[in-house]
Amino acid sequence: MNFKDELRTQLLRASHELRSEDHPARRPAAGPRSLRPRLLVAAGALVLAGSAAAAVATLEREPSRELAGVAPGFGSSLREYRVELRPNLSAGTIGWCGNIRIKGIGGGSGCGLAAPASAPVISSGGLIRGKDAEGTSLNYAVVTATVSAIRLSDGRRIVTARDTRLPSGWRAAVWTERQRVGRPPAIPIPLDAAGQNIADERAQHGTASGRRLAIKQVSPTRPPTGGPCAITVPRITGRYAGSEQVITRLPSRQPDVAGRPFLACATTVFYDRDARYRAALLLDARNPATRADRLPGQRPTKAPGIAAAFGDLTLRKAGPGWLVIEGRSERGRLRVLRQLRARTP
Amino acid sequence: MALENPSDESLLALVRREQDGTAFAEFYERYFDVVLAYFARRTSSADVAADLTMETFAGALVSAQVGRSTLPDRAAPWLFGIARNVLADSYRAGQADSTMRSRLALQPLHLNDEDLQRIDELTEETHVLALLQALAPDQRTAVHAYVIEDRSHEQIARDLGTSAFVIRKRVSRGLAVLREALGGQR
Repeated sequence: MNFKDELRTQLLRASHELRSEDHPARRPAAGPRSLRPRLLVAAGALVLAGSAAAAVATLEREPSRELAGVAPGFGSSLREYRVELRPNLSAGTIGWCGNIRIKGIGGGSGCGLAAPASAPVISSGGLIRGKDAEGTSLNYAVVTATVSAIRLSDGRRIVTARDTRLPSGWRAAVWTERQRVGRPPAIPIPLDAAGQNIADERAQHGTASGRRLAIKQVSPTRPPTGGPCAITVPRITGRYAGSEQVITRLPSRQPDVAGRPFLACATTVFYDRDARYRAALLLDARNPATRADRLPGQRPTKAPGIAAAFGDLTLRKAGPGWLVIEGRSERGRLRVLRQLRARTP
Repeated sequence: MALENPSDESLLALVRREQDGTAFAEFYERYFDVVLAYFARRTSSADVAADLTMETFAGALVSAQVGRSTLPDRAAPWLFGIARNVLADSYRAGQADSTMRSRLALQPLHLNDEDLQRIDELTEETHVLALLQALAPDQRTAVHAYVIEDRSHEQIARDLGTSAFVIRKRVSRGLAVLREALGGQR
């Protein structure tokens, strides 16, 4: 049963029980009901499709903001924000997820397939504050090294900046923008060093590059010994190993992708002490046998051999790749990561 | 449920009048994907999106079946109002609220990798942004302003120089189109 069916079943049962006059849910809830939010949140990341708006030709240039910092224009005070990129953990996928968060306001994320090698924009998105007639949005674009600036629909040019936390020499542009009510943000136009537009075929055709590899379901506690890779989740009291998906075979030819993205070779979801975790075995998508690149934002932790990366990921080496885990707390991730076993190509 | 293809509002009326769980299940069926997509694009993980979706429908069930207030004139904006409150509560608390789930004694959902993958897919532009672009311009503007920017019908009406009634209609119809399109992609 998938979780949609499972929830429907539970709601039907709850509806039946609600007929009872003394059901606790019929009594008013304790404590004050929270107010309607003053601020809200917006568009998901990874805006890779659609047509770009006509731009006003000006030469106004401004530097990009950092990937993490403080942004003006969101309420009375400055707001801390964070822009992060992390690998897509869905089994059989070569792709990225963009994530943008503003402290005290909210966040948004979006996942997609990897851009083709010719594409200038890896990921972009924005977050809108939406109470004013003309709201403020915080936006980002992660771009390849060929992109020197981003041209916005109001004519401004945001000069991209190299950030060592991003892989493959990629650059980033982060900016705030006034935005009209009810209009999705225009897609920024990438410019080369000479100030010329760089064509992005995906924007014209509205499609992302890449595809998902064939996958199959296996037992997380006893995955088959054949196949390219697997993660073993040891049986432990208090743990429920829900599912695992693995690719059926490695790609027969090198995929057309920008940079050195990761292939999620195996992914498993399990519950430990009532907390949900998702672990993935990530390999170099171009050549799974070679040592995989570092993840965006990867940094060592105090625990030997364990690293952390953007997206609240905890990871360790597994053959040529990385065994990555996401879940509730860093402490919990660290504990279960040590217990998992990975089989790599 | 005797009605043939009942409106969303008729379904909620059945839930209230006849304590009809199957009517709510039909309502749930119509909106599950859109609500899940809404959360998937606003949270950092598929897990949280699933939890918030559960909390939203739990709150909607209680409100529709045994709530003290009158039922809404328009079901879709009402449901998204609940979703927005659930989202705002989770931002404030730093975790997915579980008040309504606890009151209904709902058990935690056991998501598998396929579920999480499907939620991730809902965040892709092909599933939401492209669908939004496919709406008629007046519906797109209204849905974007109401759902994504959290503006009230009245505010949108003022900015666009029309009535709140017209905006309600556009939002409702736009959401119905999105709902159908998302449902058809399963």
